[in-house]
Amino acid sequence: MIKYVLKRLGYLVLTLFIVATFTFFLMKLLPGTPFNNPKIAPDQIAVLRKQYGLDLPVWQQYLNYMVGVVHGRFGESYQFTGQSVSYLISTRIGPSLQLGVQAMLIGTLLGILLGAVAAMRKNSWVDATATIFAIIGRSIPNFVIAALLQFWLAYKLHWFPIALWTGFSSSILPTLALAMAPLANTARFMRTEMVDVLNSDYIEVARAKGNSQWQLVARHALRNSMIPVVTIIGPMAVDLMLGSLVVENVFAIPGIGQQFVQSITTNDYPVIMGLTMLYSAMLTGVILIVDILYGIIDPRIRLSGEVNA
Amino acid sequence: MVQPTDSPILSVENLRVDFATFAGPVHAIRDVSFTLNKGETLAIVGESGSGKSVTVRSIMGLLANNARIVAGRIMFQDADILKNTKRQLNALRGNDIAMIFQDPMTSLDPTMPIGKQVAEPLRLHTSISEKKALAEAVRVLQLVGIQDAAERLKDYPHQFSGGQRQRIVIAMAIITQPQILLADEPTTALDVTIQAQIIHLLKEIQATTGTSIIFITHDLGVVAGIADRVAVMYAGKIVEYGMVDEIFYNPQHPYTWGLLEAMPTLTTSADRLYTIPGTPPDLLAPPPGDAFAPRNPFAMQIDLAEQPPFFPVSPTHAAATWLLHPAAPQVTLPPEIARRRQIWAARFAH
Amino acid sequence: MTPQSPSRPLGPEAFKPVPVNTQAQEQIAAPSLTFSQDARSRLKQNKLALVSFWLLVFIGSAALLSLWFSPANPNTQHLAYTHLPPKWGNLNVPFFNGYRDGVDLYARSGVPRGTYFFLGTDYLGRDLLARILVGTRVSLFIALLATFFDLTIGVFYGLIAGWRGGRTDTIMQRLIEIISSVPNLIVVILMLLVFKPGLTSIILAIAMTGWVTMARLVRAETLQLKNQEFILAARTLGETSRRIAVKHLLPNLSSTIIIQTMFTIPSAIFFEAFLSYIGIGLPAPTASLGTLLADGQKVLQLYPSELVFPAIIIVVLMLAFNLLADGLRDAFDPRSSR
Repeated sequence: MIKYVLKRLGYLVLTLFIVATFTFFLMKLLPGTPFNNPKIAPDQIAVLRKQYGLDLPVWQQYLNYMVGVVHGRFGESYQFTGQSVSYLISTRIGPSLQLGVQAMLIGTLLGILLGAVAAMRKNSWVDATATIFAIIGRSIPNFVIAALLQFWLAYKLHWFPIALWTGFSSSILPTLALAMAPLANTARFMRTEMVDVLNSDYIEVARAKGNSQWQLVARHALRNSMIPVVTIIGPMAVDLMLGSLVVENVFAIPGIGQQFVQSITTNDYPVIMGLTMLYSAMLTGVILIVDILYGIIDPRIRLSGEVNA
Repeated sequence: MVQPTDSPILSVENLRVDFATFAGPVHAIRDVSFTLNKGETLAIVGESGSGKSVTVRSIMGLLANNARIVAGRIMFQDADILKNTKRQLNALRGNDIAMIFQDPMTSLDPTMPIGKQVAEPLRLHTSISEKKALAEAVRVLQLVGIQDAAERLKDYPHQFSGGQRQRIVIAMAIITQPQILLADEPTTALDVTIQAQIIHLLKEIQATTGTSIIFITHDLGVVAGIADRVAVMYAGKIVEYGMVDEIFYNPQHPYTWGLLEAMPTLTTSADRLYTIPGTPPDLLAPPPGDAFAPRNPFAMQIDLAEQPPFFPVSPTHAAATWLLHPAAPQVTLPPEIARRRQIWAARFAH
Repeated sequence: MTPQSPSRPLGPEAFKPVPVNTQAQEQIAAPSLTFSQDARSRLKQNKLALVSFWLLVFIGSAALLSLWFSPANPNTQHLAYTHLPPKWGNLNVPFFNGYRDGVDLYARSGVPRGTYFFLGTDYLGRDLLARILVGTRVSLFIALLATFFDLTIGVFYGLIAGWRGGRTDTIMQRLIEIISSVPNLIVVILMLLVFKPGLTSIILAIAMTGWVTMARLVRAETLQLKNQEFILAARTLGETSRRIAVKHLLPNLSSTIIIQTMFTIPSAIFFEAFLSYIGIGLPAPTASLGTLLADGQKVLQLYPSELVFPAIIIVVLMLAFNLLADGLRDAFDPRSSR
């Protein structure tokens, strides 16, 4: 197990290295820098270029960047002069993480509940409602949900703050908007798994032992159907990260998603690179954790020590 | 040693079960009646689709959602099981009546340690503590022949072989000392050598606990090793029943003949194994007469028109075939059946 | 099991033998169907999928026909007629009669009689219906083209990885792992930064990231098929790899590919909308569902209908594609259906 985790960590570092290299050279290819502004005098540009180390040969810039990355330095923001990328991210990651975790919890827990109930009452109106809800949740873009929630619940009904980050109440609407996709996916996946599990022999055996319907689900079906659900946590994390880009913008939340979009419009390359690295690290990290988790909760994998990537 | 008795513990009376399908109701069980005596093993034999599994599933209340019990009673402890509420049914299942399933590879919950699974019926039906239940599980696991049961309680099903898993499934069924064990082809998925061990194990359990067993199989060879009495099913009906020797050496129904002919024995010298021609009838629209008639080389006009009643052969033996009607012609028996009848006759000559 | 005696005396006629007739029983009632016939008939039973299909045909042809029969020029600005509410001729339907908060805005803005904007106008006084039709066309175009590339690259990559196996497969798998460790949209965004925002770059960017899932599925399926008897038989008979791939593998992969394609289209529509929404998609004044949504969002609190109409279209499109994809999957793989 330890050997496996170490190997996976090795791959993770290698992946991040490649991502860093790739992003670096991609940024070098980009047309235009923030210093192309005609208002800035040429000698000022030269000073700025020197300050950011852009006067050095590309390979030296690359080396400097990579050494920095290893030490956790991602350069300085072009937009906010004098602020390091790491600092910028550290001030903004809090709201994003909070939203992400809340949305993930609500999405998976409610999704599991919804999917399980739909499977238990297969082909009933509960099932139909859950299925329709899941398909709609999958089909409405999260920024549309965000905008509509904002309009109705905040602007019209004044139940929640319209925007900005002023405590827990301002996290509710963005969390709901973000949770919709994971909820829909989990519910759908859970229903399929649970229907399969409920049809399996060992459930029949458990029924023959005298378990009631609820005991069956609680003791046997839930655990067995939830194991495969763990595998979609990775893709859901991706959805959440991307969702945060727009949802944070709709609600003007000072998180890394909003920062990323802002940096794109202002050509703030060091921040873009830093955030790309962060997103990749988070994604690979989540996938690694999910795989390890999968090994822990599924005894068949735990003992053979093999995890299917 | 507990001997089989003549006092019935369970009786199925005029059971009819339909399955709703898009094409209409399939009449899977068509008026089946039998009794199970205390301490005996009753084997129900028939090919797939004959309704043997549906019969025991009706007893357990484990029928598929589209199944409907149209008529009949299943009497156990002076009450009709079919009238039970869900709660009463759950109290019965795994407690008084337990079931052993066909495929040990899929019968165990893959994510639960086997100790917990074996102890589960006790936990469900008694107020015994987890610790005591696990101790009892160890005892039962040892009884069914699992080595180092105490150390293996925390192991998961995939760490056991097929034969071991079936032993665990049996342990699970007998831990509450049920009065009736329903075994639905418990040996079909196993190797021949393991089959013999499992059958031996079931016999042993029966000898010590006196439990009654209904043993479902399509394999007459297995029946010979375990059963006291046999009921032969075809197309949702019982066509012949009797003591095991009566079925094997004095069979009356042409379908039973076919089954016996199809069974390889040491004395079978033919190059090819006999197979019964044709396929079972479509139970969407069962034939008006004897369902076996179209495949029966001894079929008569009456077989096509009217269902045969049971004709008694002995107090314990009867068969539903018009061949037993006093007016029916004598038929030339197939050689294998003639050979068996000779053995039967020789036994009475002494 | 109570033995009974025969119900009535029977004559000798009754005991005449009859011949065995097993033939009658061997007949199979249902006619045999080929795989695709079977799938098609199953799809036809799926009402939701069928409705979705015709809905897509309708939206698609409306968007296409608007090339020639547009209600108005989608880019003509009437700065006097900004943010007009919808009006359906002289039909006095609430919300669609040109009134907002009890005021006839058409009269107040001095719109000549006989001029109607069925879905109202936007912040530049452009006809919203015309823009939605164009936007739908552009979004569908992007989605279909991106999906086409996606399909080509993905199927090709997956086939090679799965068929060659061994070291080729390992290297190709590592590559996929690295690519998929960066969130898709981030790659798309980076791509868009390198190329100039526009139709071509959006299509390219979406295509370059979307093929991974397809490649994975095709590879997994190819690996499975490769070891099956009929492929082995073809090999033994001396067929070339390319012929096997075309004649045996692709037909067997077709259901997987079709289904995955149907799932890719809505996600491509979503990608385009997303990119335009955060402002790095299509440049103004090109309309797409994404740019329309972005424009609508800016004035949502005052004129919600400008967000709601394009939102309805995108939701209906994605819903229909998803339902159709679900229907197709159930049709091809009956086991997965309920």
